[in-house]
Amino acid sequence: MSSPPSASASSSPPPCPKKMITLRSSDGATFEIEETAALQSKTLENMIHENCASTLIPVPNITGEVLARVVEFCSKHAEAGVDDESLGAWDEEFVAVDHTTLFDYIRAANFLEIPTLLDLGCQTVADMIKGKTPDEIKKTFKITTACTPEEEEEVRGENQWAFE
Amino acid sequence: MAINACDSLSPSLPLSLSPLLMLPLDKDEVGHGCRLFSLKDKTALALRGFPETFSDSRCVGSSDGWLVLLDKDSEPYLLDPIRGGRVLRLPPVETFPCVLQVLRRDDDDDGRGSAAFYEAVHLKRLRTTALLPLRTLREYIISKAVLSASPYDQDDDEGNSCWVVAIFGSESKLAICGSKDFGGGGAWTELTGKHAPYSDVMFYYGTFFALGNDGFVEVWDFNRDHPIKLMEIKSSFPQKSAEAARVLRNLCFTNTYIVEAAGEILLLVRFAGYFVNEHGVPVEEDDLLTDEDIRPLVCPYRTLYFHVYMLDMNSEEWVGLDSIGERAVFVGGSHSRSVSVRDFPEFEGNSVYFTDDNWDPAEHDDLYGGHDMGVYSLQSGKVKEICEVGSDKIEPPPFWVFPSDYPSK
Repeated sequence: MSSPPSASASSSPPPCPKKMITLRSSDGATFEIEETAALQSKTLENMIHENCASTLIPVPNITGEVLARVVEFCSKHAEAGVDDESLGAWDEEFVAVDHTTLFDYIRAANFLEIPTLLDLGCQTVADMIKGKTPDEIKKTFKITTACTPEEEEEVRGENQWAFE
Repeated sequence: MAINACDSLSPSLPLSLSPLLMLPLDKDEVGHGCRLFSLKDKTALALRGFPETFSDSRCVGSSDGWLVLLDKDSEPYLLDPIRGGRVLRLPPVETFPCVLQVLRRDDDDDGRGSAAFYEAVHLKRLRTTALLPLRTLREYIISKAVLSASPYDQDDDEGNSCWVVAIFGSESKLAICGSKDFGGGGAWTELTGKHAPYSDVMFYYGTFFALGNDGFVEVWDFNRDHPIKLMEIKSSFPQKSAEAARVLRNLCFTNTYIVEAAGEILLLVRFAGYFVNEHGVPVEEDDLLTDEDIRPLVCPYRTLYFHVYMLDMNSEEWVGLDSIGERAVFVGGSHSRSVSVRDFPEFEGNSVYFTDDNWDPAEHDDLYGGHDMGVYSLQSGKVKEICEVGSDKIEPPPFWVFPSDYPSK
């Protein structure tokens, strides 16, 4: 629990030092994120709420390169006074990356439970899939593993709704 | 036998060994403990003086007079409420297969953990890793735990004479530990069965029964150094209940239990309405708020009725029962048990006494919970209250406590 601000005699209260959370990527790089920005992540919010965020938080399976960008995303979305239009434009630029990086963003957003980034990433991938045939999708995402005809039948059967 | 055992107990504790209902202490009562409510005397005995950790623990089982709890750091332990809150630590939570790692605080000398990496499996295929504060991990790690016997019955270091079995993780698999591991060492090991997710587990004199969601029953022998599987009964989940659950899925949720009664194995399917109005009718969430209302109707979840079946070992099927005669069955978060009302006339025969075990984190509500308890009569098909319940959240939720026969030593 954060301590209440002390009642001082001076006319204006001293500025509160910004609380920082430290994250560590899978390749050992550390990143600091302001608590206000960290609240974009439900995982980190829970940790903060339960007083578990004072130590280093390892983020598995996410490299430093990706984690840096994710921290940037959270900070941007926690900024005050940004209008929807410019934020939308910023987001568009953020996801203008190759699909491997896009999947990394989605993985990070999933683990850290960042709904805004998860929605943004998934919507971008969905738009890339929409309207394409299975073969075109395979080419776009460079999918090489083959499905046996039986496996394909099974998945089709389980997902009838998609073909209606 | 009862008289000798009472020498070490508080003199005002009822001499009978009948099932008691564990309730929280009153708000104005000081100390850490609980109340044990006797349906016979309609009085509750307040027990204070439990270790402090009890007040911040989550109860996940009640078996042979002991409670199975998870402390604030999700570490499991046993506590004896009747004998002053004696504690036996169980193997660390980190030894569960789905707990990948516990993060320790840098600044804590005890090395106590703060959060853990918890692996969950979704739709049988997707494996995800979540980072959960240990307090939150408690809601996911163990859904129910039972004991094979009271730890007091232990022989001297001759193997494990008491086992703990827990239904754990997102896949509701089984994990065990033996009394040799009591004291905080050792590890939980997985009991590999084929019918996860499991809905309920129970012991009957050292023979262990695990009920899968599919209705199948796996039987294990725990009367040896290492449990071995005896048989698998391919008794599919009864069609009648499956169909009813499907039809009512927007109104009701179900829970299933396996229990021994007069030498037979019974299956109970509990139907509870998500939102039940004052007339006892389950309503849909959308109907809670009409255009005229300023606030939605307060309709708490409530158990409506049970379907009861008996296992026919020969045909390997669950056969519907209209009556269970002079037996009373007790279900909820506790070890499913039954008694004969000839031995305990304060209970009604042909009835199911139940407590609230709807603790799904997804359904979590801070305002109320723990209230869904009562007695269902198979004869009348109706549910009655067993004791008065306030509207506040009952924390910890009530549990049946079955004081075990105390050894003479």
